[in-house]
Amino acid sequence: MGAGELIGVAGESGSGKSVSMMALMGLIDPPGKWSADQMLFDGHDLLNMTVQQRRKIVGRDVAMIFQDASTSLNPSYPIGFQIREVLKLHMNLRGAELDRRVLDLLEWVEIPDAKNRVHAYPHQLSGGMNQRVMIAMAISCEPKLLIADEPTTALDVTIQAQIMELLLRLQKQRNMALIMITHDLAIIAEMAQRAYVMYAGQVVEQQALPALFEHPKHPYTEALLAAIPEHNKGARRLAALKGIVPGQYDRPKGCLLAPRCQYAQARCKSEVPSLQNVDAGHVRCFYPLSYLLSTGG
Amino acid sequence: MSTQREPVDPSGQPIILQAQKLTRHYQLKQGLFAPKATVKALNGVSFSLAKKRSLAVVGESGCGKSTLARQLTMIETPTSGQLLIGGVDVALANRAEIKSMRSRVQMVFQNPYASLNPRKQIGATLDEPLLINTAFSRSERAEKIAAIIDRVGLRPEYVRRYPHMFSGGQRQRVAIARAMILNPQVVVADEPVSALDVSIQAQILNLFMDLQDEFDTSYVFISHNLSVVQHVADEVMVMYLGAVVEHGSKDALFSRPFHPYTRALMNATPALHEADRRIKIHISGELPSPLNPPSGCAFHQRCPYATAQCQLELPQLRPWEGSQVACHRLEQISG
Amino acid sequence: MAVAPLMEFWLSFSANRGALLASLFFTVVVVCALLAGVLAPHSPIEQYREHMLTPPVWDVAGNADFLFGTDELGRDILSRLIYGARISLLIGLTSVLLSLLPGMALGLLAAFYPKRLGVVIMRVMDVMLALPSLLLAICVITVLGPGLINTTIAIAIGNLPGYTRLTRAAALSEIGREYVTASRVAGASTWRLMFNAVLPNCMAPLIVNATLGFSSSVLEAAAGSGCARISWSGRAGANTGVGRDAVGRTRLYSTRTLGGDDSGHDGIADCFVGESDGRRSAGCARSQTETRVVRENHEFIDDQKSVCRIRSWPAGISCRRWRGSGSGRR
Repeated sequence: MGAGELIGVAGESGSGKSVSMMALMGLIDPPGKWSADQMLFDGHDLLNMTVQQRRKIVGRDVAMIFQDASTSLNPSYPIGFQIREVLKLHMNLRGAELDRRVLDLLEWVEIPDAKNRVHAYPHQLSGGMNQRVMIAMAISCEPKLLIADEPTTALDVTIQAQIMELLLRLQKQRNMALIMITHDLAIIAEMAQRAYVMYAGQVVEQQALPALFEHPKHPYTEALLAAIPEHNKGARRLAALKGIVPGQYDRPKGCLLAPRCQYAQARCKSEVPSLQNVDAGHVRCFYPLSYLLSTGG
Repeated sequence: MSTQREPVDPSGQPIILQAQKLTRHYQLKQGLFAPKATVKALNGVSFSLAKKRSLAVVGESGCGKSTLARQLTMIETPTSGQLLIGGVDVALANRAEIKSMRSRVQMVFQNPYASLNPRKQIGATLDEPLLINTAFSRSERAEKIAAIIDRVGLRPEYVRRYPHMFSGGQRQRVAIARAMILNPQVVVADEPVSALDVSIQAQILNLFMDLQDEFDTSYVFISHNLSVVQHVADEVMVMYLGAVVEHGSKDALFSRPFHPYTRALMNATPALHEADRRIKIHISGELPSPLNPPSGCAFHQRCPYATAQCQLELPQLRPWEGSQVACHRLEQISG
Repeated sequence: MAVAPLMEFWLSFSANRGALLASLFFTVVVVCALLAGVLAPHSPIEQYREHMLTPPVWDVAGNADFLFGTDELGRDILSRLIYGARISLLIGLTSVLLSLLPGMALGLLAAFYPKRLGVVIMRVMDVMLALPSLLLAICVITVLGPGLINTTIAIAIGNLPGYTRLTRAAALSEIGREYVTASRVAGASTWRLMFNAVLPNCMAPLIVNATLGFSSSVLEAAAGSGCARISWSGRAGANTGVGRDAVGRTRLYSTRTLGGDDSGHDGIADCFVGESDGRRSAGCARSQTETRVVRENHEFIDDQKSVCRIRSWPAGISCRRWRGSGSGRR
């Protein structure tokens, strides 16, 4: 992705969307293992570096915010203290300048009455407020990339809209790249420029929006869209994909979606498809849906 | 008030459940010397539910929908107001009547990972309502369990398994089976699909619809997801801080929402297609605390149309173009 | 993945080698306790006078009949170990069950009726916790009288508040869970909720504490059976020694015989020093069936014509050679 770009990563639980971002950040603990063909960030080749070097670069320029802010913040310390900690560590600020910067950040993320809220504990603030504090901590070091892992799933709709607006504003003003991980396709539709769709640990489609949702090329993307109630206005039953996502022990031979896919052919059940270039995106399918199929049904 | 045993609604269907000004306040101790605080979780909610109808209750966290669910399933008694099930007032009923009412109103919970006893096989979990409420023999109960397991789409050998062996969607099916096994008239579903993925959500919603077609069950469907509500509901009731702000048929509400809060909810929901997106009404701030509700209209601090009257006077639900809306400024803001 | 829960448990349990080893040891102890009659080569109390103080079989002077050797009175040590497992397990189980079962019941009641009954129960437990456990045990023993069973009861009473608190805490957190609410919606009565829904989910911390309590109660019972510390005494070569028997009572072993008025009798003096009726006393057994309680500091003449005295503090038998003959006082 390029600087200042906003991409979405969509997928259901078990699709590997969170895990892949954690691997990027180096947050996978043993016995987990990770590997990559290529890992370039801001001109640095992350693969051919020591762990410490990688951590220095990633820790400074990449930030991550998580789903449930109330559990991601330390419940024993006030929020001002936690933000101060981050600033002291990475930006080496001290004293009055440090305090001013903390207040600036809190006002930036639109926390009302920031001067008094600095001393509040996470449990005294609502979920939306805590998420804003998380965002403040994440942007405090001016990262080049912000990874947001389901930041609004635990929030109410109106608060979700506020947080989305905040993230968009931040991204535009600081030219910060943003990866938005979510299972809610509508959020991606409204925010992202490009999106990846993941299934059972693999990327199955990548395209620019709105083309991704208007003309999906992979059967899974189509099925996901079809299952959304919005798409089924008037129908009594929703078009549901039968079966469940394969777990660790029941991975099918060949394409992972083959047992559930309505278009599956013989080749799909025996061979594993690889990611191919199609138009301006990628698809992992032997028989990607063409324009005719996706609109004709 | 009707004195019939079984009242009917305008379309002739018998009314199964009626709530009249249900109110629930909780007393909180605030230390030795501070006065007791009252959490006004529910303030005067009224509605009636007819056979085979689905009422959706929409609202954000803190609006009182879970409290309402607890009142309807008789887990708690309301501070004031009446609940009539099958025309009988719950507060005046004797033990036998309450037992019968309990088997007529059942519940499906939000979290599929918490609503099943982790130490019981699901066969035992499904057996419990039958054991408590009916006099069937062991073999009859086993038959009923096998039938309902099959009906919700699970395999018969699953009765011997424990909940942790199932996925979220499968557990929710078990929860639905438990709610339906007594063949209740009303199922209160408290955010039943919020914790599930989109494709599983679709399967479970289809299951709800199929069961309603087959068993003529009425639903009280609590959700904050408006697209789910739009699919499932016949009527929609929007709640804010314990009170109903709008109540109307689904089509009316979704095509022309009247209350500013309803509109804000609709607009805040992200839409998949460009065509469905609406101009965002900027709603600032957060839900006020039910410990200290604002004077007058609960929404006035965040409402873009608020006036002085909104701060002083609590608006009552009044009929407005086919729906019931609680707002002082309807004449000015609609149209 | 449909694995039976027992299989699932076994798979994760067997992955931990330490746990496997510990469970193996425990199985050995249980088998010894259950099959002691079959496994033990000899009776635990039979004395083989020809084979006193035999070293274990791997020693040069060892005897294949007595794998672990014999003690000062010629009793096979291996058999005593095997039979001793019964008593240890019995003590552990009894005292744990005596405190666990009432504790669970009280804790559940306190959790389900928190406003009145719960307050009363927890304050009573607080009072019990405020008393030092040793004092509490002594109070109980004073009321009930000394002895192994009463000691077990005293230990159980001391552990009761712990289990009550634990159960109450676990039950309180389970009561708020949705599955309990689901059972209430299904119409479950309070008793059903307590024992059928909530209790099985509270067992984890109780089991952990019960296993810890098992071992500590064995030690407490041994101490509570009331024996003084014993040291070696007597002249060198006096064939007098001390040890603990299978129930932890201190026994004083001596090959000296009680002489005196029953002169000519030659029995092995099997003496003990302990608490009896609240008083320290010493007793000597003429034979397995007869025990003569001898007063403290009482002197007697042994077969080697020494004047011996049983002391209770420091406990032991001390003898001095006495020139000439004579009889000791009774």
